[in-house]
Amino acid sequence: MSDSLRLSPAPVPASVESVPTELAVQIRDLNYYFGQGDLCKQVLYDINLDLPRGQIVIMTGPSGSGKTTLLTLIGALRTLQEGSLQVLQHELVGMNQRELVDVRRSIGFIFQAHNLFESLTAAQNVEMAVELMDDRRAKRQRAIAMLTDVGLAERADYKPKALSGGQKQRVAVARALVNQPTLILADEPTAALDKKSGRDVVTLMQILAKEKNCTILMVTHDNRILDMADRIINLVDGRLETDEEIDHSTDSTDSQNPKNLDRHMFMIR
Amino acid sequence: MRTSLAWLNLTHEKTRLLVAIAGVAFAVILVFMNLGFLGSLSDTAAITYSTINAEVYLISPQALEITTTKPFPIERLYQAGGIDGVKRVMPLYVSYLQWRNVETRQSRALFVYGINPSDPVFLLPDLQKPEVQAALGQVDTVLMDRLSRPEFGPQATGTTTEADGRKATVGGQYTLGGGFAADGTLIMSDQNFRRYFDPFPLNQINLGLIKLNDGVDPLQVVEALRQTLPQDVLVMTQEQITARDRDYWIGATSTGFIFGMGVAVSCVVGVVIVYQILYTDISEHLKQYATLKAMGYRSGFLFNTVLQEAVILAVLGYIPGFIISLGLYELTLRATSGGLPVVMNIGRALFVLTLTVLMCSLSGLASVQKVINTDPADVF
Amino acid sequence: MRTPLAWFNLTYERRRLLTAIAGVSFAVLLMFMFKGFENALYDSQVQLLKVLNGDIIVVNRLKYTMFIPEQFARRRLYQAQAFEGVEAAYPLYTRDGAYWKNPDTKAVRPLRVLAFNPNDPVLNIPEVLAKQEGLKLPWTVIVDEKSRAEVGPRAAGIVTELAEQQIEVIGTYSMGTDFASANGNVIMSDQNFLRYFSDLGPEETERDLNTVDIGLVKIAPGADVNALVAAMRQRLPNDISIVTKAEFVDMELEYWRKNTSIGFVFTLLTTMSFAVGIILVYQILYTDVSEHWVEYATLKAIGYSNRYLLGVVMQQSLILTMLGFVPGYLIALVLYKAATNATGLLMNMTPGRALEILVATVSMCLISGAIAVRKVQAADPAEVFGS
Repeated sequence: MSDSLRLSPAPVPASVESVPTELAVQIRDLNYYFGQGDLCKQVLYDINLDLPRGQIVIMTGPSGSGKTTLLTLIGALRTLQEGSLQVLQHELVGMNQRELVDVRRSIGFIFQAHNLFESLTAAQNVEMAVELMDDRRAKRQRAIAMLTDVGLAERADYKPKALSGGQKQRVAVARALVNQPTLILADEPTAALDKKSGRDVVTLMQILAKEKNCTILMVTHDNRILDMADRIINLVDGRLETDEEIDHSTDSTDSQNPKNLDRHMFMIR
Repeated sequence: MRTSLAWLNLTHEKTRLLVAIAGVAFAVILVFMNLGFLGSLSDTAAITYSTINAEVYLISPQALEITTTKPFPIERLYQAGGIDGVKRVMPLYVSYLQWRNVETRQSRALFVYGINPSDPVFLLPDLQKPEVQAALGQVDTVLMDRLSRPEFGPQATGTTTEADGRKATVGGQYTLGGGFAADGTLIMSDQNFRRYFDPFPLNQINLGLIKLNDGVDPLQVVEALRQTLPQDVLVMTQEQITARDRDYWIGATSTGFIFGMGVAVSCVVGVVIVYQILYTDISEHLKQYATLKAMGYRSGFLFNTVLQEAVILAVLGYIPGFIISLGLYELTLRATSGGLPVVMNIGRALFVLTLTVLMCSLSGLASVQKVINTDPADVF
Repeated sequence: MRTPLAWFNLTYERRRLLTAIAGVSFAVLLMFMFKGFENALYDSQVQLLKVLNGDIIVVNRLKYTMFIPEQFARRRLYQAQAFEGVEAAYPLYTRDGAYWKNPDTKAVRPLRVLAFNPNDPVLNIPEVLAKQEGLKLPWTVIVDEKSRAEVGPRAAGIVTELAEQQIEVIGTYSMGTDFASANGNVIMSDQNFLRYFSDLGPEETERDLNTVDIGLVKIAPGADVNALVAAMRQRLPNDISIVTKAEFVDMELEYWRKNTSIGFVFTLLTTMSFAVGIILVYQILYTDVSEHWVEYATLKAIGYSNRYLLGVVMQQSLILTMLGFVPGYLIALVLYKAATNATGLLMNMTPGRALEILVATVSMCLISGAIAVRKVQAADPAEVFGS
């Protein structure tokens, strides 16, 4: 059992916070267009959004509403010219490619498909992320530690074809989190998983978010996990339609409370 | 018509298809070039004989090919003249002559044909011209082959130079080609031949040419002559003597071995390229193939699809390969000043097409195993 | 050490890897083969020239290649000998197209006769020295054992005919054939040369010892060969060419390179093989990038730069080169041996030639890599989302 992650002391519910923490994401007057000239089409209109540290946000909306686009913009995967988009205190508008690449390193991405390399073991796939931070010597330890946290310590040296769908996604999560990013962007992370695996993955993200004060922005249609978010924003036709905070202080069952989950649940799959 | 899955699969990714076609095309080009070079050797033997106006030939058994002959008595030719079906007999003298380039003053060996000017030995249009006929009869005057290499110098009528220490004037030109053993040729009268190669008795000839009456079967005459003439001459049809020269050259220069091996290895490369493509395609579409199986398609159908892809690839790659080869043949002709007469013929084109299809089918067969073994249950 | 992603992606599928290596090896083999034949054709032409024991070579000015049967007056050799620094001058007589009768089949084949005074150290071959005394006997000859099969059995003791006169083989030596020697070479004394070739029928050119085919001039140790050559060129009449042995070899090679189509043919074939190699390697790289396109794009999303991915592609390219070159080289060695036995051509693998093809192979892979790299640059991380 690894000691790299510890349960933090009893957290303070967001509604009772007195000291405002810095914002993970701050968006002002964001407009985004696809195509050029005659084919120019606007996909995002006047987006204004603040995402504080440690918040778990779910973004929903019909397909084509621009959710994925917004996600990729926040993820520093596209260049921006208009408005203001600050991610982890970096202003992305006007950044060139190289600068954008640097910002990406502080963000953890989780996709619908695991996108692991078939030719690498689970540990090696995770190590690919560690190597970005130039930490060659400790990379295997860190990878194993992370895989242990997601409950895949025994499978660390297996290649993806020897892992189940849920396990592969967990490796992908490990890869996204091994560098302890302060912002996690997830695109339909549970779509390819069964109910149990799906909840486990999101619960895992929750734990780690609370421990590390990490912000999570998740795009999903999965109704099964909506209750796990602190906030739900709804994007329709490129505009922020609704923005709702969810009050967890009245959760009925303690078993749903991430802080009470036993780490052992994730061992031995 | 049923959707051609093979076609769709192949053309789905444009770049991949282009690379595949390029690969097959280049393998095809390699094979065409090797065969072409081999063929040009054969053709050079054929070109000379096909220009000679005779159906039956006499040579010494010790002759190897047209430039290495041993003289034999002209009586044999006269004896042949008496056989049924023979229209006319003509002697042919051959040798090498040191020809001096008037500009560079360097001498090189030219291959010389000596003929009786009144004999219609060569089927060359230039020799029909009266002024050329007249030039042939003049003393120390020769006709020069246009296809002689540039190193021999100017070929214009009136050019006067030295050949083996004797004055020589160019009286006209013709187009023939020297083949493998000669960089250029000359035609001169037998009288001039005797002068340049003195002492050369004209009753010893290098080749005996026999022209037959129309409709007479050369093989019959050859048979008759073989019965009549002593063993000190060989009797052959034009086809037989061409084959004899060709086999000699291919053997003597090891080119048969060289280019044969070139063809073999090129084919292997082609098989590997196509196999790679088909295998990758199959691996990528394994799920789809498995789905088809689940839907009820039989293995035979999938087998056919892969084979179809192989054949389509073969044809798509053959066409550019063929066209580029034609271009390269032309390039070769130019670059060697006609020294290597590489020409495309239908037989070779068809042979290579068959070879290409076979090559690709082989790859197809090798890669099809995977498809046959897909388990439809794996889709779920 | 960084995870060798290039290596893993290239090697994790056994069959794919083997096919790839096979492809590259065969492209390498093709290049070795064609270049090998070209070199063999050239090397064969100068084998004889290389064993000539002379520092300076004298030939008739018209004899710019061994094919040309021109001689020069022996007097010139005496004149050359008079120069200071010259130790000795030896004449070498040759006859192309002498008819040798195969003792078994009785078929007659032309070969080349080399003749000289057995006391003169004309050829640097040990077997010649060994048979020095035997060659002085009339009607004797030693035969090149690498002559073509058509010449027939060639062991010592065999009696057959040369130029329609009886001849006895008293031994063999080892050299090799070329285009000018036709079916093979034999060596005899100059006196025997006269016996066979000085009294022939009217249609043949007769020879005597006053006209020499190749003159070999040995200089004293320490003498300046270039100065001597220059001096001789100045003072001797210009019906002869005077060159150093190296120049003589080059002259012959030049002729074969420039004036025959051999160079063109094999350069063309080698270039085609090179192109095939590029396509093969590109295909492999391209397939890898296509198949792992999403994973590569993911790496970009995580924060890997384009440069890293370019590096992966180039690494794969180079790994493929190396993995394919070695088997290609080894098979080429075997093939060279087989070809030498089958054709009598001299197929030699030298380190220089292997290096030449290695460089070509590396360029091949670099070029393919450079082309394939563009595709990986196009992988757009943003498109990994929502697909």
